[in-house]
Amino acid sequence: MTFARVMIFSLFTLLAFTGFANLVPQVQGDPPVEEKIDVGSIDMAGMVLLGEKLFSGKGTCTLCHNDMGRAPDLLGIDLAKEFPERIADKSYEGIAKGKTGPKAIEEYIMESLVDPSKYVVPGYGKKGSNDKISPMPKADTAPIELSKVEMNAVTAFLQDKAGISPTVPLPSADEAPKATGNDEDEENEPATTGVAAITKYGCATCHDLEGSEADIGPKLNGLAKRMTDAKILEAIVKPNVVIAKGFEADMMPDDFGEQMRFSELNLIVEYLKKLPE
Amino acid sequence: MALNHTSKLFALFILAVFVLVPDVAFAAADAAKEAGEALVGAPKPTRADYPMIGGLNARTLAWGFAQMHLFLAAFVLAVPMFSIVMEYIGHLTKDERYDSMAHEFMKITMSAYSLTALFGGTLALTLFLFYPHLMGYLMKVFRGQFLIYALLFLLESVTLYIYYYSWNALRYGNRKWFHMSIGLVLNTVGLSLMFIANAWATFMMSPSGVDPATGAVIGTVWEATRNPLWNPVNLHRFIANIAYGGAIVGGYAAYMFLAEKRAEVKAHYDWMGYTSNFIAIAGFLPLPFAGYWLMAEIYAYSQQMGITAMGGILAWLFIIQAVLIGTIMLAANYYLWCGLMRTDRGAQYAKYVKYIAVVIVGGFLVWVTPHSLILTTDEIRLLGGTHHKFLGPLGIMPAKNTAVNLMLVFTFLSLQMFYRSSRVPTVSWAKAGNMVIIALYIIGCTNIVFAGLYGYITPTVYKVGASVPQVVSTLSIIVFSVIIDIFMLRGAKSEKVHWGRMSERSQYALFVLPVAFTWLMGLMGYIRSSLRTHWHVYTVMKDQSPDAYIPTIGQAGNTITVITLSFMAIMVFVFWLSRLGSTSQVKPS
Amino acid sequence: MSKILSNKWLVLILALGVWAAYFHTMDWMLMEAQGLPVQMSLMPR
Repeated sequence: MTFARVMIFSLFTLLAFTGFANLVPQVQGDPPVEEKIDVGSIDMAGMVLLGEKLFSGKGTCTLCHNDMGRAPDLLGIDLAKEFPERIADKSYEGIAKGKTGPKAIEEYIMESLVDPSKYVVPGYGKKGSNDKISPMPKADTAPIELSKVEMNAVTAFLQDKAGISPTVPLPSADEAPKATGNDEDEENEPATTGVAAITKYGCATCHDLEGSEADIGPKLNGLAKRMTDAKILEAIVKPNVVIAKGFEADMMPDDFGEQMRFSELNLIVEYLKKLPE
Repeated sequence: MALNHTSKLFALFILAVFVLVPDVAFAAADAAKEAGEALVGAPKPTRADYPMIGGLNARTLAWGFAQMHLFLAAFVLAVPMFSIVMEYIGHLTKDERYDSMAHEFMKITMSAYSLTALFGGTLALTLFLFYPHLMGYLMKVFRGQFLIYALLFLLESVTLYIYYYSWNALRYGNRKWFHMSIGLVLNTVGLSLMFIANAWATFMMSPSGVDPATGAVIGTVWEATRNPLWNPVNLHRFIANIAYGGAIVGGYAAYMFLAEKRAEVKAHYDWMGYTSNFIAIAGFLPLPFAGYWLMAEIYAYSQQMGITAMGGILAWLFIIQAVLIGTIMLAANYYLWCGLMRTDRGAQYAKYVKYIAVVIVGGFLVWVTPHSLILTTDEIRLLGGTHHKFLGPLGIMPAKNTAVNLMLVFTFLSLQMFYRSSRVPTVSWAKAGNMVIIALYIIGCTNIVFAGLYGYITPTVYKVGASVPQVVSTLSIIVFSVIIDIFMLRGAKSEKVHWGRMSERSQYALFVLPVAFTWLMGLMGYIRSSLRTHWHVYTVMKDQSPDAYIPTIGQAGNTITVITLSFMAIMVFVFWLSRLGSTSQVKPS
Repeated sequence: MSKILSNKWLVLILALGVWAAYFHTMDWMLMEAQGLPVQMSLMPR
């Protein structure tokens, strides 16, 4: 009896905690999604927009660059005045020293991104470093890892904020080889049905699926009889391990393991297993 | 005989050499590597490289086993720590009760020990099975240390068994000292085990001894061990273990108290519950300070990681943590207040209880009020998902710091009142001394409030700094009161304590403690792991598994509840086992 | 001395002063050690 009472009491306590944890706002922290850039069509306005997104998103700049005094509030202060003043600062010894104009500002911003300690705005240095060391992480290394194009976009955004037309180069094709669509929010919605996943990754372009009658890749009918789940999975993510008779290696992209979500992979496997003979 | 001893020592020495050999050999290999070959970086597995076994969720499995292992290990490591202190007190005061109680604590530990090892093994297996790349990399970084760990584990088993089973054989006089020495070795080995395991966990958060760009191993094992967060976590876990162990044996004592009918046995378990609660509070009071240090070191290591912890998604976690800590404090205080009734003198203090209750509940409310937390779910989405735009809760940290410090001070006041309730000072300056202590409380609390105000109006960068005087104020109050009390209560008349004169209801406070502690530990484990975000080893090895996301607090809470329930089930089994051991069947006539 | 000690209210006032001095000094030293603006006006800007 005592035992039951104690257990019920403990359970009740536990449930109260659990209930509370479920009451607060629920947010899942997904790993950062790579921004896809359409290199063919992105213009400077697009770069500025992308830069703004990166500034509060992947770049995590607003964590510190806000009005709470941790770092210069880049969105609050008058950048048109600030940038030239800093380049002209006596203690500034960086790449843009002695220069003026929009290009100098681009160089200054870029330098601050990859080497923040090159010049520290007075009062914002690491404690005890006498404003010689910046607390800011380098934007191009882990954990932030902005690419060259992305840093250009951030620079373009800040130049735009300062009232200058951005001078950064537009991305060229080889800088962003994996670029696909522009609307990455649409693109990254995970597929929820097998057919949707097949469509999303263009499987039917090469395989005879959904009545496409394509014959670049092998027919997949009756797959469930021939292969186990694991084998099907392997054939999708490592297509060159086993090559079907009469087909060549390196025809199918081998980066689906990177592109697909785990749920999508499973959907595709389920879908393929259900194909009639 | 002497020769026998020497040969044993020699054997130990040889063993030690062997323990060290793997490390030495690997160090030599490093030197060779430096001479020529290119260094190999951290592995970069793709999503497909993560083994999938029968649709099991790898992360949930690893999470569950790790947390279970941690719960059990924390308990098994903690109990010998305060057992040996109690043994020593018993030896000093010649009071056999302490010795018997320490023995009884150890009895519970023994049943839990093999389960700890079992879960540790299962955890290791799970990790190697589901995260072979990560484990391979960690093996490369820590090399021979894994073997040392295994050997220490062996040594832990040996000393634990000897310590427990030699208890009655080595009970009095010089033999007692010998027994306590064994306990000391046991605790040293146990702490070393924990420190080593902490090094692995903290390396994953703040890697050192590796090339930051590639993750290639360039340093020694010691450099990887001595990473920035190692010592803060060591201290935090060490203190928390003591509080946790105390809370668990407190639950045991409370259950025994409720289940018993005989008055003298009830008195024994009342005393045991009181002592356990004392240990739990004593461990709990300094814990927030160790937490401050850990958080400060996290900020110093990486601003980004610090803000991930204190802002945005995880910010709500600290509200939940506050509720848990508040619950623990209220329960512990409630138990102390009930305890005042054990002495006739205690009743005269009872009238102050309501004021303390007001401060503690008030502090609790300030702490949990989320009004200045600006982030709602939609706002976070709007601000860019995983990343946090505002330092939200930091802005109100001063208010919360003030609340928690005042709560700590008043919890200590409860403890002090309780302590005083069974002792009547006889020194001539008793009245003056009391006034000095009252003044200390008044000024100390005022200082805490003022430092809070100062922190509130200074820019963010100074806020953390302003909390330091608050912490020191709290510590000052505690330390100075204890010192004054020691002198004032010298030769004090002891009041008769009626052990067992406790309400049934008071015992439930002792159940709240272990349940809340266990759940809170689970929650803190979740946040510690979440700080790495989508990295296995922060900034060095990315987590590409399907589970590379931070689960919502609700999901995490549900998982932690399931784990806590399993742990409770196991503890019930453990307690049952230890009671079974002392039950004997009556011989049929 | 013993006369002062015998009046508990006097002791209280004395002790208040002594502790205030102690906490004030401690605050000051801790703030300065951390490089915090100790002399900053307490009024919000």
